[in-house]
Amino acid sequence: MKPLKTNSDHIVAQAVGVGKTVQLASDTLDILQDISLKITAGRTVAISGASGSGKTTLLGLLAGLDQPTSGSLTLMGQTLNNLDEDQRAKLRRGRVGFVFQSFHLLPNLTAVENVALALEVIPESTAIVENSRQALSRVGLSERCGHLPSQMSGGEQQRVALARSMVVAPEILFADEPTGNLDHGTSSQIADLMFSLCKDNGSTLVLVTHNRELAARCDDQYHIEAGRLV
Amino acid sequence: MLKDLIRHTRLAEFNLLFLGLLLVGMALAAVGLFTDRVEQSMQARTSALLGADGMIDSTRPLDDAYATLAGQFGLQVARSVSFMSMAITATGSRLAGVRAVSSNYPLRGEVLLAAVDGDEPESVSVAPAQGTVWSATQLVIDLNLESSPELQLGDSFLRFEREILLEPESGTGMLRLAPRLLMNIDDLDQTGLVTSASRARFRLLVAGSKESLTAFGQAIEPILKPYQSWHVADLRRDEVRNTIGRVVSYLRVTVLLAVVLAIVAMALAAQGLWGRQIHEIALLRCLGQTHSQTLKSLARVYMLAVIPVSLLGIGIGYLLQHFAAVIIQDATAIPLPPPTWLPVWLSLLMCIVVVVAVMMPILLAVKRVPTMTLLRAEQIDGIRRNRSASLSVLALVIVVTFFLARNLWLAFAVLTGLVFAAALLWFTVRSLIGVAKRLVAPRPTAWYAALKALLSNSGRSTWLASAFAAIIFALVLLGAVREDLFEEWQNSILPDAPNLFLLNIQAHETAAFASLLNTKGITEVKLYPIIRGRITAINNQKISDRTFEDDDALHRINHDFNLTILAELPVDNKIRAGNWFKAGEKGFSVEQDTAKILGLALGDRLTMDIAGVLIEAPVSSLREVKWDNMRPNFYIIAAPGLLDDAPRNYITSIYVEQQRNELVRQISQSYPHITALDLGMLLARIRTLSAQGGNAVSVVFVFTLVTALLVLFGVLQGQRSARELEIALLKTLGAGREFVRRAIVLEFAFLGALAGFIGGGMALLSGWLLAKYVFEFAYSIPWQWLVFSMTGAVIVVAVIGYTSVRSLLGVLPVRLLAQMAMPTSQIHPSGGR
Ligand SMILES: Nc1ncnc2c1ncn2[C@@H]1O[C@H](COP(=O)(O)OP(=O)(O)O)[C@@H](O)[C@H]1O
Ligand SMILES: [Mg+2]
Repeated sequence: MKPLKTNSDHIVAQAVGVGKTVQLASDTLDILQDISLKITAGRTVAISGASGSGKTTLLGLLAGLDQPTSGSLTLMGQTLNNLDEDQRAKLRRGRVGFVFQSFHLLPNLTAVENVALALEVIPESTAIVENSRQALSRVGLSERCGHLPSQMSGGEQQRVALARSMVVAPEILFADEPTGNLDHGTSSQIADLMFSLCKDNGSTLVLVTHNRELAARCDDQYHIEAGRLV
Repeated sequence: MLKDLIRHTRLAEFNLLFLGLLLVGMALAAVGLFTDRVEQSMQARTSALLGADGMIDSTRPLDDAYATLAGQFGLQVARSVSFMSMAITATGSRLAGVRAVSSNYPLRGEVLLAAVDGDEPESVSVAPAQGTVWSATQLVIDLNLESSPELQLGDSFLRFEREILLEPESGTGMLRLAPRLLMNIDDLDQTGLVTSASRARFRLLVAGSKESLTAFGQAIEPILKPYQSWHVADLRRDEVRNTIGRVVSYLRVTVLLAVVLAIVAMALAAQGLWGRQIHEIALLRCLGQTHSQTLKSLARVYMLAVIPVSLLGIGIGYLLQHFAAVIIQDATAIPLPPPTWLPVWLSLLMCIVVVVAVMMPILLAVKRVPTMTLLRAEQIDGIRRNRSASLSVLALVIVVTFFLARNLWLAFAVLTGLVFAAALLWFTVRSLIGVAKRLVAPRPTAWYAALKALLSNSGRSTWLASAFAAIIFALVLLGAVREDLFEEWQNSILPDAPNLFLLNIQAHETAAFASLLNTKGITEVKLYPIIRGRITAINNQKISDRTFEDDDALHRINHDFNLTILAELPVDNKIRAGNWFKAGEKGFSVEQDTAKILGLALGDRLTMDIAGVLIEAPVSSLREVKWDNMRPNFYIIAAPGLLDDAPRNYITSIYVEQQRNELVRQISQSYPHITALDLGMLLARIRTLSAQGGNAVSVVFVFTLVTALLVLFGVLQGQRSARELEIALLKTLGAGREFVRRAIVLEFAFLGALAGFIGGGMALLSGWLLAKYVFEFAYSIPWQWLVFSMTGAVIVVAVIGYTSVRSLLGVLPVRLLAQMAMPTSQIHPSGGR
C-alpha cells in the first residue's frame, strides 16, 4: 500500500515566500510573512516559537489543510496552490499523518475503531482490523483495543492518536503540540514513541512545539517569531 | 454501513434524535389512524341517524318517478311512511308512531332489537316480515305485548315479534316522538289507515356516494313540490358526534404538543450531533476524505436508521390506537371501522420530512467545515451556530401544526399559543435575570454562586427553564387540570342529567302529576307548557303571499311550531340580538337560525294562529340555542301573558336515578296519554364516551411528558461540558466539593421555581382555553395549583438537575483544566457558555 521510499535528499514539503493574511472586522492581520523552507525526506523537523507566533498556521499550510494568501507550497512533489480542497484531500490520503494537541479521537469509537478510521478512507485498504490492532500494539495498547476514549488517560489517548497516524505508514507526520495537553512524564514517553515510530517507518516528522527541549531533539530546527522565520 | 450505524448509536445525541423520531412516528400514527377510524365511524353514524344519506320528505304520497331517478343516479332507495295511529290489543290501546318501511330499511345504520332469551341485543338492517311488527319498549310494556302479541292497526291484525331499543331517526327531534311501531310497508294498504288525504309523512330514503347524492339533490330541487323537501343528514343535534368531535380535536392538540416537543428534542440532538461531527468530518478530511464522500456516508447512515425507526414508531402507534379502539368499542358499542392505509403513509412521509428538516441544514453545512478546525478550536463555535437549522425547524413546526390540527383556526390558535408561551418564557427569564442582576451583590456564598451561574448563562438558563416548564406543564395538566376538566365537562354536558322526557301532560293534571313525581323523590319538576301555533303573517303580510326559496323555510312555515311560555331565559340559551322579555312585555323570542331561514328580523311583527285565535307580537329577541344539551329546546318562546288563554299541554325532563322502568310503567298506567321518552341509554353512552376520552387524553399527556423529558435530556446533555468547565474553575479557585454541590442544587431549585410558575401557569391557562373553546363550558381556574406546581417543581428540578451533574462533581480540576485547552466535542444548544 505504501508508495516507493524516497531517497534521503528528496524534498517532501516546500514553502516559497509564503504569507497568510486574514481579514478581520476592522483591519487585516498578517499571521505569516515571507516564509521559505524545505523539508527533506526522512528527517525530523521542529518548528518552534511562542504561543501565537503562527506555528499552527504554518503547519496547516504545509499539510495542505489551508490555502496561503501569497507564495507557493509543494507537498510530495505536488504544487498545492492549484489544487482544490478535494484534490488536496486525495493527496493526503494514506501519505500524511497528523497528531493533534487535543488528540481528536472520536468519542463514540473504540481505540481500534479510531485507528481503523485512517484506513477506512483509503479505498484500497485491506485487513483493516488486523493492521489497526497491530498499530495499537506498536504503541503498547494491545490490551485496550475495545476501550472508548473516555475510559483512557490523556497519554493513552495520544498513543491511540499516534497509532492512527502511523497505521498508514505516512511519508510525513505532522504533529501540532503533541504533548501540550500532557504532564511532563507522559510527554517524554509520547515523544520517545513518536520519534521511534517515525524512524521505524522512515517517515518525515514535522513537529510544531513551543517546548525547546522537545525541539532540540529534532534534526532540523526552525524558529518562528511574529510570523517570520528567524 | 451497518457498522457505521452501530458506531453512531454510541452517541447519546444520535439515540436521542431517533428516540424523538420514534415518538413522532408513534404519535402521528396513533392519532392519525384513530381519528381516521372515528371520522369514518362518524360519517356512517350521521347517515345511520337518518337511516340513509339523504331523503325526500313529503306530506303527500311520493311519485315513483323520484325513486326511478335516484336509481339512475346510482343511489339505493328505500321507503318509509310514518303516521300516528291507535294500536289496539286485548289489554288496551295506545297512540303509536307507526312507521311502515320497505324491506331494505334502513339503508344506513341499524335497528337495535332487544335480546331474546338472554342473548345479546341484535342489530338488523331489514324491515319486519309481513304480518309482524316491532315495537318500542314503552308500547311493549303499556300493551303487555309479550303476553298478548296480537295487535290491531286500522283494518288489519299484526303480530308483535321484537322489541326495538334504538332505531334510525329516533335521535333527532325529541318532541315529536311517540312510541314507535315498525311494520312492513307491504302491509300498509290493508290497514286502510293511509290515504292521500291522511296526515302522514312519506319518505324516500337514498344512499350512495357523496357525488351522486349531491347530483341527485341538484336534479330534484327544481321539480320538488312545495310540500316536499330534500334533506341530507343534519349533524348539529347529534350529541354523541359532538362529544367525539371534541375529544378528537383535544387529542389532536395534545398530540401536537408532544410532537412539537419531540421535534425540539430532535433539533437539540441534531445540534449536539453536529458539534461532535464537525470533528469527525474535519478529521476524515485530514485523512483524505472528500466532501461528497463525507456527505454520502453521513446521509447513508441517517437514511438507514430513518425508515426502520419510523416504521417501528408507526407500528407502536398502530398498536396504541388499536387498543384504544377496542376499549372504546367495548365501552360504548360504537363500532369503529378498520383504519385505512393513508394515515400510515402520511405518518411515514411526515417522519421523513421531520428528519430531513432537522438534519438537512446540518448535512449541507458539511461543506463549510474547514479542515483547519482541528488545529484551531476557537473556530468551531462559529460553525456550530447554524441559523438555517433553526429556521428549518421553525418551518417544520408550522407544517406539523397544520398537518395535525387540520383546521386553520385551530392551527393558528395553537401556533399563537406556542409563540406566546415561548415569548412568555423568554421574557420572564430575561426580566427576572435583569432584575436579579441589579439586586444581588457579590458575596461568598453558594446562593450567590448559584444565582450567578443562572444569570450569567441566560441562554442555558432559558433552555433549562423551558424544558423543565414543559415537563411541569405536562404533569400539571395530567395531574390536576385533566381530571377537573373532564369532571366539569361531564357535568356540563349533562348538568342535572335529565334522562327521562315526559310529553303530553295535560293542564288539569299537572299538580297531581307533580305530586306523583314528588313521591318518587323528584321534587323540582319544571313543566314547560307546549302550545301549538302556526305563523300566518309577518309584519301583517300574509305568509301565503310571501315566497320562500328555501325548502327548510317552507317546511317550517307549513308546520305547527311548538311554542312555550317562559319568564326566564333557559340555561344554555344566549341572547344574540334584542333583550329578553321585561316584566309585562309582549313579544316572541326566536331561535336565530329559524329567524334567518324565515327572514325574520328583530322588531318584525309576527302573527301566529294559536288554535284559531290570531296573536300578534313583535320579535323581541333572537336566541342561540345549544341543541345538544338534552333539555327541552324551543324555536319560539312567547312572553308570559301573551298566550294565557291558549290550549296547552306540558312537557318536562327529569332525572330518575333508579327504577326508571318502574316509574315509566306506573306513569303509563295512571296517565296512558303521557309519553315517556327514556334517554338513559343515550346518556350512559355519552358518559362512557367522555370518560374514555379522558383516558385517551391521559395517554397523550404521557406522550407529552416523555417528549418533554427527551427535550430535558437533550438540554442537560448539551450543557455537560460547559458545566464541567464551570465546576473545574470553581474548584481551581478553591471552592470545596460541598460548596459546589450546594450551588448546583440551589441553581436548579431556582430554575424549578421558575419552571413551576411558567409550566403550571401555562397548564392552567390551557385548561381554561380548552374548556372555553373546545369543550365549551365555563371552567374556574384552580389557582392553588400554581403554588403546588412551584413547590413540586423546586423539589423535582433540584433532584433531576443535581442527579444529572453529580458525576461531574468528582472530576479533578487538573484534568478539566487540561481539557479547557481543547475543544470538547460537546455542544451547547444555546451556544451559551
Ligand atoms: N482565522 C483566523 N482569524 C483571525 N486570527 C487568526 C486566524 N488564524 C490564526 N489567527 C491568529 O494568528 C496568530 C497565530 O496563530 P497560530 O498559528 O495558531 O499560532 P500558534 O500556533 O503559534 O500559537 C494568533 O494570534 C491567532 O489568533
Ligand atoms: Mg498552535
